[in-house]
Amino acid sequence: MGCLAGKVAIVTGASGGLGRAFAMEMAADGAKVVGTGRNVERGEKTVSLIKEKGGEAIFLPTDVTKEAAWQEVMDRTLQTYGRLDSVINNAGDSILKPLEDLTLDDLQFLLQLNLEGSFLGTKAAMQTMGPEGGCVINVTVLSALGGNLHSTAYSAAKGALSHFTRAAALAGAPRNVRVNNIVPGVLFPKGELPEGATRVHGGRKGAQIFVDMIIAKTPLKRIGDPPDVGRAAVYLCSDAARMVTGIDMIVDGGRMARAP
Amino acid sequence: MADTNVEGSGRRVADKIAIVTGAASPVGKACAELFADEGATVIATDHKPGDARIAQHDASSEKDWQRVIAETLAAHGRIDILVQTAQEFFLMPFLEMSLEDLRGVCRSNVESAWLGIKHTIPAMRKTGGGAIVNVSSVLGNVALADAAAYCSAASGVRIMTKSAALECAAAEDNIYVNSVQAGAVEWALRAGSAGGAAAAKGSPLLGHPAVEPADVAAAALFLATPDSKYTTGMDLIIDGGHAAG
Repeated sequence: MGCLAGKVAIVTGASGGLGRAFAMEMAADGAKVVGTGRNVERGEKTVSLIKEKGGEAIFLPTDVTKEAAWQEVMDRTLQTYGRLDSVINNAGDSILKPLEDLTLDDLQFLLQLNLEGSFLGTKAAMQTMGPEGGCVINVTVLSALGGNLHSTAYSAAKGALSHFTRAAALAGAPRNVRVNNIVPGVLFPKGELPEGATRVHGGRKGAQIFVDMIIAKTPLKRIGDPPDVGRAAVYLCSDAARMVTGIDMIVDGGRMARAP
Repeated sequence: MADTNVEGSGRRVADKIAIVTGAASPVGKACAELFADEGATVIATDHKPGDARIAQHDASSEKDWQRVIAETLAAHGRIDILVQTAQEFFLMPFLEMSLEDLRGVCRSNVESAWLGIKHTIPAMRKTGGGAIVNVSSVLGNVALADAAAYCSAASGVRIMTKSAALECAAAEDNIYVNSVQAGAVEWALRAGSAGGAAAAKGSPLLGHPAVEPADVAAAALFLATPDSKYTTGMDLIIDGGHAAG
């Protein structure tokens, strides 16, 4: 039993740390989950973790930047579970470089993955959800709300997505489809440095410097835990949030209270 | 933490001591009832109780706050949650307002929230932390004609919430301070002016013409449980999408 019993949710990027947390928290509150992603082994691991706890899930290897792939995901979701109530557009990636080193290719890659994937997912959700409507969540970042000099291209892509959400909320209203942003701060599962962070920040030392900087900027003085963001998604997808649309749901340890 | 946070489990704020102000009005009443349903001991207060189960409390009076806090600590030993819904909705065209009107609105809305924060934090610090939820209005995010005083007040509560959150975080006192910015709740209908009619005309969401007190209560509950333990200084807008458009 849980507040999402009887509901069906798609979670993209379900092979990664945050996507797995979304999928597991939604399942913990009773939703059946369709996870998508590119890494089959990690995606299937998400599914087995959900099933171990008595939940239901499947994993569909998918490239969210392709319209045809979204059609396939929607068809498989309806075939398997008969309905669709939530879509969490979590798949995304960043490139951190000073502006002078960023290329047009970098920008276009970020726009394609972060904006286009979520645009297609939001559109497909509206076409697939039934008369009761549903909930779309786009995962943006603090740099969508305030500039970040280390990630100008990423800020542009997530900023575009963030504003798309507001317009999509108005577009979805006649169909009872709510669209919201979840805005996480920096998250590491259980406070460990994940390999992705080590890669992006040029090694363990670089990653630790990054972590120390983030903690210094975070009022709650700690890195976030992915399940915290998952709980925000559960609230937004539940009937308790039936009047919540077009907002930024912030899970960032207090950073947006002053500035990102 | 997730296993105790199943909605409807009756346990989401089990064994917590919660003060809910404005409990004689629809939003406060919904908060008091929901928190009690989810296991909290609720100290419901209002300046016009009208019910033996609600304690007399003028939220704009510092003396009344001191009394309510002292009585709660004497009876229960702790305060874990404060939900502030006490407020006064006020609409009047700018040029018809007097300075006294403005001051009255600030007293009922800003001073009350400020007093609640000021007098509750010390109690919460003694027992390891807590959650403060200030129920404000989306008119603190976007403006409305005929509502300059109320918009100022709602905006003040919204940003005061963030300041308080930052101070608590810096003090590492485990106190979370957030606000709910509610839109077009039924009490707006009572104001009867052109601005009130505009506020109440409904949201873009089909089938849900207005924000219900229960929607606001559910948001307050989310912000008062460990489900939101990485969220502080946030204003959670519940308005059917008005502020988005």
